[in-house]
Parts: sequence; structure tokens; C-alpha cells
Amino acid sequence: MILMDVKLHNIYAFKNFHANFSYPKKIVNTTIEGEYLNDFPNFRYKKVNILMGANASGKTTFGKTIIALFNFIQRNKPTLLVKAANLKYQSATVECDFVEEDNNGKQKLFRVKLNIENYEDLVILSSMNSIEIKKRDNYEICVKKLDKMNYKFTKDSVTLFDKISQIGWYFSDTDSRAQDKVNRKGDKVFINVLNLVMQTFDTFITDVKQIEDDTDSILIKFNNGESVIYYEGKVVGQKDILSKGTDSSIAIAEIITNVMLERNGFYYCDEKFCFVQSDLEKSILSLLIELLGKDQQLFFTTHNTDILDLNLPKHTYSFFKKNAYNIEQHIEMIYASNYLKKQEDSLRNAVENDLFSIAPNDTKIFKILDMIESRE
Amino acid sequence: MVKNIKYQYFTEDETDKRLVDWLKTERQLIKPGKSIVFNMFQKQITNSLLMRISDQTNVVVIFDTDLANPNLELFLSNIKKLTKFRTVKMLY
Repeated sequence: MILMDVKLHNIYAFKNFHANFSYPKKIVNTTIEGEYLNDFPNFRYKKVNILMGANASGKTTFGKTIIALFNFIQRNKPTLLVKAANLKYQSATVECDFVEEDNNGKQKLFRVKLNIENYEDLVILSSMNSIEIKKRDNYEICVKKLDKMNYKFTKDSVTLFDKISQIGWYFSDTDSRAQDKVNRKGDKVFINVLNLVMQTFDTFITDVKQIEDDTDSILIKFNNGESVIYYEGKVVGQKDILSKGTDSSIAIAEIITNVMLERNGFYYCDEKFCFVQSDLEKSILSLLIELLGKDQQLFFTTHNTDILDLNLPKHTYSFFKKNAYNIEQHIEMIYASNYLKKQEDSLRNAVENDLFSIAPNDTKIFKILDMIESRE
Repeated sequence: MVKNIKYQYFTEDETDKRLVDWLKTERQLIKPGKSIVFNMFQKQITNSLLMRISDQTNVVVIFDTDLANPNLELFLSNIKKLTKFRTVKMLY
């Protein structure tokens, strides 16, 4: 699954929201390998998407919407999508272009349109068209063909989406812990990755291994001879022995393993590194990018501006901008590459100087000082 | 090209801030820089505000003259404080 374009209306706080994940020109000497559809070099897509923005600007809800959409398409589960839809006044709509194989193994660009309506009964009307991607096609050519097609809406989404082959995705947010037993059971790669990650996070840790009789439990050994058992996302007994960063390293090891083994294809890593030291976050992100295989896509949300220093193409960085004054479009996506055209343009300087006007308005925070003055 | 020169705008109110942001981002007619709402005629500059001005920053104070009772003395004292502050490179 490769996400190419998303349009949302009345979904969470998104109104007339549009995000695109293609890029127009081939980049030379790039640090991201194979940033195009495998065997279709003109079909360029943003393989790595670093999403930044102020608090409550839509980074998490965007990820949740995509996962809700995938759940509906793949598993016919509408619950998350209905939860995301803001049906107070109007219907909600989702439009999404993505690349996936059809049941015959052919790479196709799909366009799914959903209308979520709540007039008398809650109804999700679905429509889908697809076109086969030809050798020389790029995204823009395919989109023109999709635009010309007729879209018939149906309530029978199961039959409609049956034409799409298996979609894989991995969504991990700040609170999620590595608990996927099916993924981890007997997984030597995961344990080896975890061992290296945990020892990096906490230099007092000397070894991490799976308990032989209980594949769901992990034994963490320390240099003072002590050890703890980690079971179902928690340390058994001594709760505070791991720092918050080290604790999060277990879920981070799971992401690394999944990307390394190309288990999911689509990865949305949402502020997973809020307890992690900045240099380590940079290291792990660069590792994830290096590990990311062909026809895979990574979304990575962060508040860490040090990530701007990574030597990545500018189209990798997008920013969510929330504008409370614009009632027609509360949230918009700003693309760094639209503003910084030259190689030597510094993204870091642009963000520090708030070129994109995405810095949070902290005026009200400093009104707290007025409270003190008025008390005096 | 965005050079390593920092700018910081002090605007009187939200409307002026929105104008600065629009000129900076949508029109790209002014130098990019963070904009902060702070009325120099009404409030004394605090340390918490000064510590947010990073090194070698050009500070631009934007004000209009429609205030009912402008405290000119306070304004001048604020400007003086800004001018003398070590991280302020230039004041406009």
C-alpha cells in the first residue's frame, strides 16, 4: 500500500483538507533509495514523510483517519471511520488515491471515494475506480485518467473492495506498546534488534533475551547481576526500573523489526520518540529510512526540530498548519519543497524563522504573568 | 534563499500578527521570522520574553498610532531595553 493523495472533509477537524504524497522531479544524489514504484521509475512517491506541526494540528488524527480507512477497505470495519466523521451538520467525505496490487498481481492506482451520511440512518456509500500503471506512467498521468472516470456509489463495500489484494499497515502512537504476540512469538530477529536497541538506550543493560519456556516474556539483564521480566508491555514487579525512554525502546524495536522484515508496507509512527534523546531519534529514523524496502512508505510525526538537520530531500518534510480563523479549512498541509526550491536553502532556518507560520501562538501562555501582576 | 539570519516580529494584536504571517508565508514579501503579540505601549518587556530572543536576532517592532492612551514612556523604555539586550542584533 502506497498512499498518494488524501482529501478529507468533516473528518475530525479536517475540512477541505488535501494532502499529496507524490513529488514532481527526480532527485539526484538522494539519501532515500528507490523513491519510486518498483519497476515504474517515473511513478514517484514520497517514501518517507516527516510530518511536523504544533500540538493539536492533526498529525495523530490524520494517521487515525488513514488507519480507519484501511480498516474499512480491508476488514469492512466502519467503526473507526464513523467515529472520525464529524456528522453534526453535514455528511463527511474521504477520497484517497493509493497504489496496491489487484487480485491478479498487477500494480494499480486506486481511487476510493466515501460519503458518510447521517440523514435518517448512518450510511457509508463507497465508490472505487482503478487503472493499471504502465511502464512509463507517472502519478500525474494516472490521475488524469482517474479524474475522467465515472464514480458510482454503493452500500455494498465488501464486493467493491474485493478487487484489492491484501493491505498491510502498521500504526504506532505514543501510548502503544509492543504487545503483538503473534508478531513476536519466537521472533529471534525482534529479540536481537531489541537487545541492541535496549543496550543503546540504557548502558547498564547487558543482555536481553526471550525466556525459553515462555515466548511472550523477555528477560532483561543488568550489569549489577539483577534481571527483570518484561511481559505484555510491562515490567513484572519492579515497575520503575526502566526509564521512560528505555521502556519505549521495546515498541521502537518492534517498528525496526517490522520495517526490516517488510511486514506491513505502510508504517505510521506517531510521536513514538517523545521520551527519546534527540540524537537517538535521529539515529533510529535514519536507520528506518535505510531499512525501508521497495514499495514501502513511512510516515513519521515528531516535534523534534533536530530532525530537520537530517540530510533528506525537502519534499520529505510536510507541516500541519492549523488556522482557527479559516472556517473553510481549519487544517492545511504545508510542503517545505514548495517554499525552499534551492539545494542550499536551509529547512532548519526556515522553521526557526517560522517561514511557514506554523509556530504555535503562545500569547495566552504569557497572560499567566498578567495574573500575577493583577494579584499584586 | 533562507540565510542564517533570525528575525522576530512584535505585533500589537492578533490582526497585525496575521498580517505579518500572511506577508511572510503567503506573499513572501517580508523576511521570515517568528511573530509574537506584544503591545509595547501597554506592557513592560519581561525576562521571559527576552529569553525567547535567540542570538543575533533582528527585532522588528510593529505598532500603529490608533491607541486611545498610548504610554509613550513605557514604549520608549521597552525599546531601550530591547536595544541594549545582548542577543538583539538590530532593532527596526
